[in-house]
Amino acid sequence: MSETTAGAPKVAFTFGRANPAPRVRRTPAETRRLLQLALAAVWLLDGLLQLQPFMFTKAFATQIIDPTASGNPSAVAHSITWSAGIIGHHPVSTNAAFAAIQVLLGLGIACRPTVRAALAASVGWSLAVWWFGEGLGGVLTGGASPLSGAPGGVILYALLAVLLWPTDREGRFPAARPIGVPAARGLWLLLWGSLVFFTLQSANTGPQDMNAMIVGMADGQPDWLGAIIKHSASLVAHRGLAASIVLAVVLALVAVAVFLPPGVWRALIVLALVVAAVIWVVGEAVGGVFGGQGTDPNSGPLLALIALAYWPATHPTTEPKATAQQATGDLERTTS
Amino acid sequence: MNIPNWLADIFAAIMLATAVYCAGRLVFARLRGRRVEYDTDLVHLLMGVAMAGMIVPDLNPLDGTVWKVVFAGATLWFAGRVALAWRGDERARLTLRHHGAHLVLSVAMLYMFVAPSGASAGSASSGGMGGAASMVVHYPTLALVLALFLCGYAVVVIDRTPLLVASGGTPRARDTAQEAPPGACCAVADNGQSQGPVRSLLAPRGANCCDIAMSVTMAFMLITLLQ
Repeated sequence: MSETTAGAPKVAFTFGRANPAPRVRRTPAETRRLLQLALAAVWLLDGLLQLQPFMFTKAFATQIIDPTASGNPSAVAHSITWSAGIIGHHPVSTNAAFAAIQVLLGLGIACRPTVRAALAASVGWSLAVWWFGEGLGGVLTGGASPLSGAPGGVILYALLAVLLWPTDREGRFPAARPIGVPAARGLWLLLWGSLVFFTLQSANTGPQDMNAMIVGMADGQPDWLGAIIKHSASLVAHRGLAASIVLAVVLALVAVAVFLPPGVWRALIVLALVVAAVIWVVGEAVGGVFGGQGTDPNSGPLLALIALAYWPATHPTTEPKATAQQATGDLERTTS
Repeated sequence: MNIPNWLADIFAAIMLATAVYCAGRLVFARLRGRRVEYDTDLVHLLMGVAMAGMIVPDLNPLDGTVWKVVFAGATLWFAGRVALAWRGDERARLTLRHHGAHLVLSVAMLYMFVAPSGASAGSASSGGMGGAASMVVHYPTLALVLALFLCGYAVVVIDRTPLLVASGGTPRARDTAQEAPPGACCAVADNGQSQGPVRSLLAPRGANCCDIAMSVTMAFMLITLLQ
Protein backbone atom coordinates (compact mmCIF):
# COMPACT_ATOMS: atom_id res chain seq x y z
CA MET A 1 0.00 0.00 0.00
CA SER A 2 1.40 3.36 -0.93
CA GLU A 3 1.84 6.20 1.50
CA THR A 4 -0.82 8.18 -0.26
CA THR A 5 -3.48 5.58 0.16
CA ALA A 6 -2.38 5.01 3.74
CA GLY A 7 -3.66 8.40 4.67
CA ALA A 8 -0.77 10.72 4.06
CA PRO A 9 -1.84 14.09 2.66
CA LYS A 10 -2.09 13.89 -1.07
CA VAL A 11 -0.60 16.82 -2.94
CA ALA A 12 -1.70 17.17 -6.54
CA PHE A 13 1.14 18.27 -8.79
CA THR A 14 0.35 21.27 -10.91
CA PHE A 15 2.54 23.13 -13.30
CA GLY A 16 3.35 26.74 -12.54
CA ARG A 17 3.44 28.61 -9.30
CA ALA A 18 1.01 27.69 -6.58
CA ASN A 19 0.27 31.29 -5.69
CA PRO A 20 1.59 33.76 -8.24
CA ALA A 21 2.66 37.09 -6.78
CA PRO A 22 0.87 40.18 -8.01
CA ARG A 23 2.70 42.17 -10.68
CA VAL A 24 4.28 45.35 -9.42
CA ARG A 25 4.52 48.23 -11.87
CA ARG A 26 7.99 49.72 -12.20
CA THR A 27 8.59 53.40 -11.63
CA PRO A 28 10.13 55.36 -14.54
CA ALA A 29 13.41 55.55 -12.64
CA GLU A 30 13.47 51.79 -12.21
CA THR A 31 12.73 51.34 -15.89
CA ARG A 32 15.60 53.63 -16.81
CA ARG A 33 17.90 51.75 -14.44
CA LEU A 34 17.01 48.49 -16.14
CA LEU A 35 17.88 50.02 -19.49
CA GLN A 36 21.14 51.31 -18.05
CA LEU A 37 21.94 47.79 -16.87
CA ALA A 38 21.19 46.42 -20.31
CA LEU A 39 23.57 49.00 -21.76
CA ALA A 40 26.18 48.00 -19.17
CA ALA A 41 25.79 44.35 -20.16
CA VAL A 42 26.36 45.22 -23.82
CA TRP A 43 29.48 47.20 -22.94
CA LEU A 44 30.74 44.28 -20.88
CA LEU A 45 30.05 41.92 -23.77
CA ASP A 46 31.93 44.30 -26.06
CA GLY A 47 34.94 44.24 -23.79
CA LEU A 48 34.94 40.46 -23.62
CA LEU A 49 34.58 40.17 -27.40
CA GLN A 50 37.59 42.45 -27.66
CA LEU A 51 39.58 39.85 -25.69
CA GLN A 52 39.21 37.19 -28.39
CA PRO A 53 42.51 35.86 -29.69
CA PHE A 54 42.06 37.38 -33.16
CA MET A 55 41.95 40.90 -31.74
CA PHE A 56 45.46 40.54 -30.33
CA THR A 57 46.90 40.03 -33.82
CA LYS A 58 47.94 42.51 -36.46
CA ALA A 59 44.99 41.26 -38.51
CA PHE A 60 42.67 43.22 -36.26
CA ALA A 61 44.14 46.41 -37.67
CA THR A 62 44.45 45.26 -41.26
CA GLN A 63 41.16 43.36 -41.58
CA ILE A 64 38.81 45.19 -39.21
CA ILE A 65 39.98 48.79 -38.79
CA ASP A 66 41.78 49.69 -42.02
CA PRO A 67 38.99 48.64 -44.43
CA THR A 68 36.61 51.16 -42.83
CA ALA A 69 38.68 53.97 -44.37
CA SER A 70 37.54 52.97 -47.84
CA GLY A 71 35.09 55.41 -49.40
CA ASN A 72 35.40 58.01 -46.67
CA PRO A 73 36.60 61.60 -47.32
CA SER A 74 40.37 61.79 -47.32
CA ALA A 75 40.64 63.51 -43.94
CA VAL A 76 38.60 60.78 -42.29
CA ALA A 77 40.30 58.01 -44.26
CA HIS A 78 43.77 59.26 -43.30
CA SER A 79 42.89 59.37 -39.63
CA ILE A 80 41.60 55.81 -39.78
CA THR A 81 44.70 54.60 -41.60
CA TRP A 82 46.82 56.37 -39.00
CA SER A 83 45.02 54.69 -36.11
CA ALA A 84 45.13 51.32 -37.87
CA GLY A 85 48.88 51.76 -38.22
CA ILE A 86 49.32 52.34 -34.51
CA ILE A 87 47.15 49.36 -33.65
CA GLY A 88 48.97 47.21 -36.19
CA HIS A 89 52.33 48.06 -34.64
CA HIS A 90 51.19 47.43 -31.08
CA PRO A 91 48.30 44.98 -31.40
CA VAL A 92 48.57 43.43 -27.94
CA SER A 93 48.89 46.56 -25.86
CA THR A 94 46.33 48.60 -27.79
CA ASN A 95 43.79 45.82 -27.82
CA ALA A 96 44.27 45.14 -24.13
CA ALA A 97 43.62 48.82 -23.48
CA PHE A 98 40.50 48.81 -25.67
CA ALA A 99 39.12 45.75 -23.92
CA ALA A 100 39.88 47.12 -20.48
CA ILE A 101 38.16 50.42 -21.27
CA GLN A 102 35.03 48.68 -22.49
CA VAL A 103 34.86 46.27 -19.56
CA LEU A 104 35.33 49.17 -17.15
CA LEU A 105 32.58 51.14 -18.88
CA GLY A 106 30.23 48.20 -18.43
CA LEU A 107 31.14 47.71 -14.79
CA GLY A 108 31.03 51.46 -14.18
CA ILE A 109 27.51 51.85 -15.55
CA ALA A 110 26.36 48.87 -13.51
CA CYS A 111 27.77 50.37 -10.31
CA ARG A 112 25.41 53.06 -9.00
CA PRO A 113 27.99 55.51 -7.58
CA THR A 114 29.92 55.58 -10.86
CA VAL A 115 27.06 55.51 -13.34
CA ARG A 116 27.34 59.17 -14.32
CA ALA A 117 31.10 59.09 -14.81
CA ALA A 118 30.89 55.88 -16.82
CA LEU A 119 28.08 57.16 -19.04
CA ALA A 120 29.99 60.38 -19.70
CA ALA A 121 33.15 58.43 -20.51
CA SER A 122 31.18 56.11 -22.77
CA VAL A 123 30.09 59.07 -24.90
CA GLY A 124 33.69 60.12 -25.50
CA TRP A 125 34.86 56.58 -26.16
CA SER A 126 31.96 55.87 -28.51
CA LEU A 127 32.64 58.96 -30.58
CA ALA A 128 36.33 58.08 -30.84
CA VAL A 129 35.61 54.50 -31.91
CA TRP A 130 32.91 55.67 -34.32
CA TRP A 131 35.47 57.86 -36.06
CA PHE A 132 38.66 55.83 -35.89
CA GLY A 133 37.27 52.30 -35.67
CA GLU A 134 34.10 52.37 -37.73
CA GLY A 135 34.83 55.10 -40.25
CA LEU A 136 31.81 57.09 -39.06
CA GLY A 137 29.68 54.01 -39.66
CA GLY A 138 30.10 54.52 -43.41
CA VAL A 139 27.54 57.33 -43.43
CA LEU A 140 29.77 59.44 -45.69
CA THR A 141 30.60 56.64 -48.10
CA GLY A 142 27.24 56.54 -49.84
CA GLY A 143 26.96 52.83 -49.23
CA ALA A 144 25.73 52.68 -45.65
CA SER A 145 22.65 50.58 -45.01
CA PRO A 146 20.63 49.88 -41.87
CA LEU A 147 21.03 46.20 -42.65
CA SER A 148 24.80 46.50 -42.36
CA GLY A 149 24.73 48.55 -39.17
CA ALA A 150 24.37 52.17 -40.29
CA PRO A 151 24.77 54.71 -38.80
CA GLY A 152 27.34 52.64 -36.89
CA GLY A 153 26.58 50.57 -33.85
CA VAL A 154 28.96 52.42 -31.59
CA ILE A 155 27.39 55.86 -32.08
CA LEU A 156 24.20 54.37 -30.67
CA TYR A 157 26.03 53.71 -27.39
CA ALA A 158 26.65 57.45 -27.12
CA LEU A 159 23.03 58.21 -27.92
CA LEU A 160 21.87 55.74 -25.26
CA ALA A 161 24.21 57.26 -22.69
CA VAL A 162 22.54 60.62 -23.27
CA LEU A 163 19.01 59.25 -23.28
CA LEU A 164 19.56 57.22 -20.11
CA TRP A 165 21.42 59.90 -18.17
CA PRO A 166 20.35 59.77 -14.50
CA THR A 167 18.15 62.67 -13.52
CA ASP A 168 15.25 63.41 -11.22
CA ARG A 169 13.34 65.22 -13.94
CA GLU A 170 10.05 63.85 -15.13
CA GLY A 171 9.12 62.82 -18.62
CA ARG A 172 6.54 60.95 -20.64
CA PHE A 173 9.05 58.23 -21.46
CA PRO A 174 12.52 57.34 -20.12
CA ALA A 175 14.40 59.04 -22.96
CA ALA A 176 12.59 62.32 -22.34
CA ARG A 177 13.66 62.65 -18.73
CA PRO A 178 17.23 63.92 -19.23
CA ILE A 179 16.74 66.06 -22.36
CA GLY A 180 13.04 66.87 -22.49
CA VAL A 181 10.30 65.64 -24.78
CA PRO A 182 11.00 67.85 -27.83
CA ALA A 183 14.71 67.02 -27.96
CA ALA A 184 14.07 63.32 -27.39
CA ARG A 185 11.52 63.28 -30.18
CA GLY A 186 13.96 65.11 -32.42
CA LEU A 187 16.69 62.55 -31.80
CA TRP A 188 14.29 59.68 -32.49
CA LEU A 189 13.20 61.29 -35.75
CA LEU A 190 16.81 61.95 -36.72
CA LEU A 191 17.87 58.36 -36.01
CA TRP A 192 15.06 56.52 -37.76
CA GLY A 193 14.78 59.17 -40.46
CA SER A 194 18.46 58.69 -41.25
CA LEU A 195 17.83 54.96 -41.58
CA VAL A 196 15.15 55.75 -44.17
CA PHE A 197 17.67 57.89 -46.05
CA PHE A 198 20.36 55.20 -45.97
CA THR A 199 17.89 52.58 -47.16
CA LEU A 200 16.99 54.60 -50.23
CA GLN A 201 20.54 55.49 -51.25
CA SER A 202 21.28 54.44 -54.80
CA ALA A 203 23.94 51.98 -53.65
CA ASN A 204 21.25 49.97 -51.83
CA THR A 205 18.38 49.98 -54.29
CA GLY A 206 19.77 47.93 -57.18
CA PRO A 207 18.00 44.64 -57.99
CA GLN A 208 20.65 42.53 -56.27
CA ASP A 209 22.13 45.01 -53.79
CA MET A 210 20.16 43.91 -50.76
CA ASN A 211 20.49 40.24 -51.69
CA ALA A 212 24.26 40.52 -52.00
CA MET A 213 24.51 42.37 -48.70
CA ILE A 214 22.50 39.76 -46.82
CA VAL A 215 23.87 36.61 -48.41
CA GLY A 216 27.41 37.79 -47.75
CA MET A 217 26.77 37.38 -44.03
CA ALA A 218 25.84 33.70 -44.24
CA ASP A 219 29.35 32.26 -44.42
CA GLY A 220 30.71 30.83 -41.19
CA GLN A 221 27.45 31.08 -39.29
CA PRO A 222 25.76 28.25 -37.38
CA ASP A 223 23.39 26.20 -39.54
CA TRP A 224 20.17 27.75 -38.27
CA LEU A 225 21.45 31.29 -38.70
CA GLY A 226 22.93 30.60 -42.11
CA ALA A 227 19.62 29.11 -43.23
CA ILE A 228 17.66 32.15 -42.05
CA ILE A 229 20.06 34.51 -43.79
CA LYS A 230 20.06 32.58 -47.06
CA HIS A 231 16.29 32.25 -47.05
CA SER A 232 15.90 35.96 -46.36
CA ALA A 233 18.36 36.78 -49.13
CA SER A 234 16.37 34.66 -51.59
CA LEU A 235 13.22 36.60 -50.70
CA VAL A 236 14.76 39.87 -51.88
CA ALA A 237 16.69 38.46 -54.85
CA HIS A 238 16.07 40.63 -57.92
CA ARG A 239 13.62 42.70 -55.87
CA GLY A 240 16.11 45.12 -54.36
CA LEU A 241 14.19 48.29 -55.12
CA ALA A 242 10.86 46.97 -53.89
CA ALA A 243 12.43 45.56 -50.74
CA SER A 244 14.19 48.85 -50.06
CA ILE A 245 10.96 50.79 -50.48
CA VAL A 246 9.09 48.47 -48.11
CA LEU A 247 11.86 48.74 -45.54
CA ALA A 248 11.95 52.52 -45.92
CA VAL A 249 8.19 52.78 -45.39
CA VAL A 250 8.41 50.67 -42.24
CA LEU A 251 11.30 52.75 -40.93
CA ALA A 252 9.42 55.96 -41.73
CA LEU A 253 6.42 54.73 -39.76
CA VAL A 254 8.71 54.05 -36.82
CA ALA A 255 10.30 57.48 -37.22
CA VAL A 256 7.00 59.29 -36.68
CA ALA A 257 5.85 57.00 -33.85
CA VAL A 258 6.66 59.44 -31.08
CA PHE A 259 4.36 62.09 -32.59
CA LEU A 260 1.30 59.84 -32.62
CA PRO A 261 -1.27 58.93 -29.92
CA PRO A 262 0.04 56.56 -27.21
CA GLY A 263 -1.76 53.49 -28.55
CA VAL A 264 -0.31 53.83 -32.05
CA TRP A 265 2.99 54.95 -30.56
CA ARG A 266 3.29 51.72 -28.57
CA ALA A 267 2.36 49.60 -31.56
CA LEU A 268 5.07 51.28 -33.62
CA ILE A 269 7.62 50.82 -30.84
CA VAL A 270 6.84 47.12 -31.02
CA LEU A 271 7.36 47.37 -34.78
CA ALA A 272 10.71 49.06 -34.10
CA LEU A 273 11.69 46.14 -31.88
CA VAL A 274 10.79 43.71 -34.65
CA VAL A 275 12.78 45.75 -37.18
CA ALA A 276 15.76 45.80 -34.83
CA ALA A 277 15.55 42.03 -34.45
CA VAL A 278 15.37 41.51 -38.21
CA ILE A 279 18.31 43.84 -38.80
CA TRP A 280 20.33 42.05 -36.12
CA VAL A 281 19.64 38.51 -37.29
CA VAL A 282 19.30 38.86 -41.05
CA GLY A 283 21.48 41.85 -41.88
CA GLU A 284 24.12 41.68 -39.18
CA ALA A 285 24.26 37.93 -38.50
CA VAL A 286 23.98 38.54 -34.75
CA GLY A 287 26.84 41.02 -34.93
CA GLY A 288 29.09 38.52 -36.65
CA VAL A 289 30.19 37.16 -33.29
CA PHE A 290 30.36 33.59 -34.57
CA GLY A 291 33.80 33.19 -36.01
CA GLY A 292 35.85 35.03 -33.46
CA GLN A 293 36.07 38.35 -35.29
CA GLY A 294 33.03 40.22 -33.98
CA THR A 295 34.00 43.25 -31.92
CA ASP A 296 30.48 44.09 -30.81
CA PRO A 297 26.90 42.89 -31.28
CA ASN A 298 26.37 45.70 -33.86
CA SER A 299 23.38 48.02 -34.04
CA GLY A 300 20.41 45.65 -33.66
CA PRO A 301 20.33 45.30 -29.85
CA LEU A 302 21.06 49.00 -29.42
CA LEU A 303 18.20 50.02 -31.69
CA ALA A 304 15.98 47.80 -29.56
CA LEU A 305 17.23 49.42 -26.35
CA ILE A 306 16.64 52.88 -27.79
CA ALA A 307 13.12 51.85 -28.77
CA LEU A 308 12.43 50.66 -25.24
CA ALA A 309 13.64 54.01 -23.91
CA TYR A 310 10.84 55.61 -25.91
CA TRP A 311 8.06 53.42 -24.53
CA PRO A 312 5.39 55.90 -23.40
CA ALA A 313 4.44 55.84 -19.75
CA THR A 314 1.04 54.48 -18.79
CA HIS A 315 1.07 55.95 -15.30
CA PRO A 316 2.00 59.20 -13.58
CA THR A 317 5.71 59.91 -13.90
CA THR A 318 6.12 61.24 -10.38
CA GLU A 319 7.67 58.95 -7.83
CA PRO A 320 8.90 59.05 -4.26
CA LYS A 321 12.09 61.02 -3.92
CA ALA A 322 13.96 58.15 -2.29
CA THR A 323 13.13 55.78 -5.12
CA ALA A 324 14.17 58.29 -7.73
CA GLN A 325 17.44 58.99 -5.94
CA GLN A 326 18.33 55.34 -5.57
CA ALA A 327 17.56 54.54 -9.17
CA THR A 328 19.49 57.52 -10.45
CA GLY A 329 22.70 56.60 -8.77
CA ASP A 330 22.46 58.84 -5.73
CA LEU A 331 22.99 55.98 -3.30
CA GLU A 332 26.44 57.35 -2.61
CA ARG A 333 25.02 60.49 -1.08
CA THR A 334 22.39 58.77 1.01
CA THR A 335 24.71 56.19 2.51
CA SER A 336 27.80 58.25 3.19
CA MET B 1 44.96 30.81 -32.08
CA ASN B 2 45.23 31.30 -28.31
CA ILE B 3 44.85 34.28 -26.03
CA PRO B 4 48.12 35.81 -24.76
CA ASN B 5 49.67 33.95 -21.86
CA TRP B 6 49.62 36.97 -19.57
CA LEU B 7 45.86 37.32 -20.08
CA ALA B 8 45.31 33.64 -19.38
CA ASP B 9 47.41 33.97 -16.24
CA ILE B 10 45.37 36.93 -15.03
CA PHE B 11 42.07 35.14 -15.44
CA ALA B 12 43.46 31.96 -13.90
CA ALA B 13 44.77 33.94 -10.93
CA ILE B 14 41.39 35.59 -10.44
CA MET B 15 39.69 32.21 -10.51
CA LEU B 16 42.11 30.65 -8.05
CA ALA B 17 41.79 33.63 -5.73
CA THR B 18 38.01 33.29 -5.91
CA ALA B 19 38.23 29.58 -5.16
CA VAL B 20 40.51 30.19 -2.18
CA TYR B 21 38.18 32.91 -0.90
CA CYS B 22 35.17 30.60 -1.15
CA ALA B 23 37.05 27.85 0.66
CA GLY B 24 37.93 30.37 3.35
CA ARG B 25 34.29 31.39 3.65
CA LEU B 26 33.24 27.80 4.23
CA VAL B 27 35.87 27.27 6.93
CA PHE B 28 35.36 30.64 8.59
CA ALA B 29 31.58 30.27 8.67
CA ARG B 30 31.96 26.88 10.33
CA LEU B 31 34.39 28.16 12.93
CA ARG B 32 32.57 31.39 13.74
CA GLY B 33 28.98 30.20 13.46
CA ARG B 34 28.16 32.55 10.61
CA ARG B 35 25.71 31.91 7.80
CA VAL B 36 26.81 31.18 4.25
CA GLU B 37 25.28 29.33 1.37
CA TYR B 38 27.26 26.14 1.55
CA ASP B 39 26.19 24.83 -1.85
CA THR B 40 26.92 28.09 -3.64
CA ASP B 41 30.32 28.59 -2.06
CA LEU B 42 31.25 24.96 -2.67
CA VAL B 43 30.26 25.19 -6.33
CA HIS B 44 32.15 28.49 -6.66
CA LEU B 45 35.20 26.77 -5.22
CA LEU B 46 34.91 23.96 -7.77
CA MET B 47 34.21 26.36 -10.62
CA GLY B 48 37.21 28.48 -9.74
CA VAL B 49 39.56 25.49 -9.78
CA ALA B 50 38.00 24.07 -12.94
CA MET B 51 38.13 27.34 -14.88
CA ALA B 52 41.69 28.04 -13.81
CA GLY B 53 42.55 24.60 -15.14
CA MET B 54 40.75 25.25 -18.40
CA ILE B 55 42.52 28.57 -18.90
CA VAL B 56 45.97 27.33 -17.87
CA PRO B 57 46.03 23.55 -18.42
CA ASP B 58 48.99 23.05 -16.08
CA LEU B 59 46.72 24.03 -13.21
CA ASN B 60 44.11 21.40 -13.94
CA PRO B 61 44.07 18.82 -11.12
CA LEU B 62 41.36 16.55 -12.52
CA ASP B 63 40.43 14.79 -15.71
CA GLY B 64 37.75 16.37 -17.89
CA THR B 65 35.40 13.46 -17.29
CA VAL B 66 35.48 14.05 -13.55
CA TRP B 67 34.63 17.69 -14.06
CA LYS B 68 31.74 16.73 -16.31
CA VAL B 69 30.32 14.53 -13.56
CA VAL B 70 30.89 17.24 -10.94
CA PHE B 71 29.07 19.94 -12.90
CA ALA B 72 26.32 17.60 -14.02
CA GLY B 73 25.73 17.02 -10.32
CA ALA B 74 25.81 20.74 -9.60
CA THR B 75 23.33 21.34 -12.40
CA LEU B 76 20.95 18.76 -10.99
CA TRP B 77 21.34 20.18 -7.50
CA PHE B 78 20.48 23.74 -8.51
CA ALA B 79 17.71 22.50 -10.79
CA GLY B 80 16.22 20.86 -7.73
CA ARG B 81 16.57 24.04 -5.71
CA VAL B 82 14.92 26.04 -8.46
CA ALA B 83 12.06 23.56 -8.61
CA LEU B 84 11.58 23.72 -4.85
CA ALA B 85 11.67 27.50 -4.89
CA TRP B 86 9.19 27.58 -7.78
CA ARG B 87 6.80 25.32 -5.91
CA GLY B 88 7.36 26.92 -2.53
CA ASP B 89 5.73 29.74 -0.65
CA GLU B 90 6.33 33.42 -1.26
CA ARG B 91 9.44 33.51 0.89
CA ALA B 92 10.99 30.55 -0.87
CA ARG B 93 10.17 32.08 -4.24
CA LEU B 94 12.42 35.01 -3.45
CA THR B 95 15.31 32.60 -3.89
CA LEU B 96 14.23 31.64 -7.38
CA ARG B 97 16.37 34.11 -9.29
CA HIS B 98 19.39 33.42 -7.11
CA HIS B 99 19.26 29.66 -7.54
CA GLY B 100 18.26 30.07 -11.17
CA ALA B 101 21.40 32.07 -11.83
CA HIS B 102 23.54 29.38 -10.24
CA LEU B 103 21.74 26.77 -12.27
CA VAL B 104 22.79 28.64 -15.41
CA LEU B 105 26.36 28.99 -14.12
CA SER B 106 26.48 25.21 -13.59
CA VAL B 107 25.00 24.57 -17.04
CA ALA B 108 27.63 26.88 -18.55
CA MET B 109 30.41 24.96 -16.82
CA LEU B 110 29.00 21.67 -18.03
CA TYR B 111 28.66 23.09 -21.54
CA MET B 112 32.29 24.22 -21.58
CA PHE B 113 33.43 20.69 -20.79
CA VAL B 114 31.00 18.93 -23.12
CA ALA B 115 30.70 21.17 -26.18
CA PRO B 116 34.28 21.30 -27.48
CA SER B 117 35.58 18.22 -29.22
CA GLY B 118 38.47 17.23 -31.42
CA ALA B 119 41.30 18.35 -29.19
CA SER B 120 40.48 16.84 -25.80
CA ALA B 121 38.95 20.16 -24.90
CA GLY B 122 38.47 20.84 -21.24
CA SER B 123 41.41 18.69 -20.30
CA ALA B 124 45.01 19.51 -19.65
CA SER B 125 45.98 18.67 -23.19
CA SER B 126 43.66 21.13 -24.88
CA GLY B 127 46.23 23.85 -25.12
CA GLY B 128 44.31 26.29 -22.98
CA MET B 129 41.59 28.78 -23.88
CA GLY B 130 41.27 29.53 -27.52
CA GLY B 131 41.76 25.84 -28.11
CA ALA B 132 43.60 24.04 -30.79
CA ALA B 133 42.95 24.64 -34.47
CA SER B 134 41.26 21.23 -34.72
CA MET B 135 38.77 21.97 -31.94
CA VAL B 136 35.10 21.95 -32.93
CA VAL B 137 32.51 23.51 -30.65
CA HIS B 138 29.04 22.02 -30.72
CA TYR B 139 26.01 24.27 -30.35
CA PRO B 140 27.90 27.60 -30.47
CA THR B 141 24.60 29.47 -30.23
CA LEU B 142 24.23 28.15 -26.70
CA ALA B 143 27.63 29.60 -25.86
CA LEU B 144 26.48 33.02 -27.03
CA VAL B 145 23.19 32.78 -25.14
CA LEU B 146 24.97 31.75 -21.95
CA ALA B 147 27.55 34.51 -22.36
CA LEU B 148 24.79 37.09 -22.81
CA PHE B 149 23.04 35.82 -19.70
CA LEU B 150 26.25 35.91 -17.66
CA CYS B 151 27.03 39.48 -18.74
CA GLY B 152 23.53 40.47 -17.69
CA TYR B 153 23.80 38.61 -14.42
CA ALA B 154 27.14 40.23 -13.62
CA VAL B 155 25.82 43.76 -14.06
CA VAL B 156 22.68 42.99 -12.05
CA VAL B 157 24.76 41.67 -9.15
CA ILE B 158 27.00 44.74 -9.34
CA ASP B 159 23.91 46.92 -9.25
CA ARG B 160 22.70 45.14 -6.11
CA THR B 161 26.04 45.39 -4.35
CA PRO B 162 26.64 48.72 -2.59
CA LEU B 163 30.23 49.92 -2.73
CA LEU B 164 30.11 51.88 0.48
CA VAL B 165 29.42 50.64 3.98
CA ALA B 166 26.81 52.63 5.86
CA SER B 167 27.51 53.43 9.48
CA GLY B 168 26.66 50.45 11.63
CA GLY B 169 27.64 47.74 9.22
CA THR B 170 27.11 46.49 5.72
CA PRO B 171 24.26 48.45 4.17
CA ARG B 172 21.96 45.60 3.35
CA ALA B 173 23.35 42.75 5.38
CA ARG B 174 21.31 43.44 8.47
CA ASP B 175 18.08 43.71 6.54
CA THR B 176 18.90 40.68 4.50
CA ALA B 177 19.76 38.57 7.49
CA GLN B 178 16.57 39.36 9.30
CA GLU B 179 14.07 39.45 6.51
CA ALA B 180 15.11 38.28 3.12
CA PRO B 181 15.87 34.76 2.06
CA PRO B 182 18.75 33.81 -0.23
CA GLY B 183 19.15 35.84 -3.35
CA ALA B 184 16.81 38.62 -2.34
CA CYS B 185 19.74 41.00 -2.24
CA CYS B 186 23.07 39.44 -1.50
CA ALA B 187 24.11 35.84 -1.30
CA VAL B 188 22.87 34.52 1.99
CA ALA B 189 22.16 31.37 3.90
CA ASP B 190 20.03 28.27 3.78
CA ASN B 191 16.67 27.67 2.21
CA GLY B 192 14.63 30.37 3.80
CA GLN B 193 12.96 28.04 6.26
CA SER B 194 15.21 28.54 9.25
CA GLN B 195 13.58 29.08 12.58
CA GLY B 196 14.78 30.61 15.77
CA PRO B 197 17.57 33.19 16.07
CA VAL B 198 18.99 34.23 12.72
CA ARG B 199 22.77 34.12 12.51
CA SER B 200 24.43 37.02 10.76
CA LEU B 201 25.60 36.68 7.21
CA LEU B 202 29.21 36.23 6.37
CA ALA B 203 30.37 38.97 4.01
CA PRO B 204 27.47 39.11 1.57
CA ARG B 205 29.30 41.61 -0.61
CA GLY B 206 32.24 39.24 -0.82
CA ALA B 207 29.90 36.51 -2.02
CA ASN B 208 28.53 38.89 -4.61
CA CYS B 209 32.06 39.69 -5.79
CA CYS B 210 32.59 35.95 -6.30
CA ASP B 211 29.45 35.83 -8.41
CA ILE B 212 30.68 38.75 -10.50
CA ALA B 213 34.15 37.29 -11.02
CA MET B 214 32.72 33.90 -11.94
CA SER B 215 30.20 35.35 -14.36
CA VAL B 216 32.62 37.63 -16.17
CA THR B 217 35.32 34.98 -16.48
CA MET B 218 32.84 32.36 -17.61
CA ALA B 219 31.36 34.74 -20.20
CA PHE B 220 34.87 35.41 -21.49
CA MET B 221 35.58 31.68 -21.79
CA LEU B 222 32.31 31.06 -23.60
CA ILE B 223 33.03 33.88 -26.05
CA THR B 224 36.43 32.39 -26.70
CA LEU B 225 34.65 29.22 -27.77
CA LEU B 226 32.83 31.13 -30.51
CA GLN B 227 35.87 31.36 -32.77
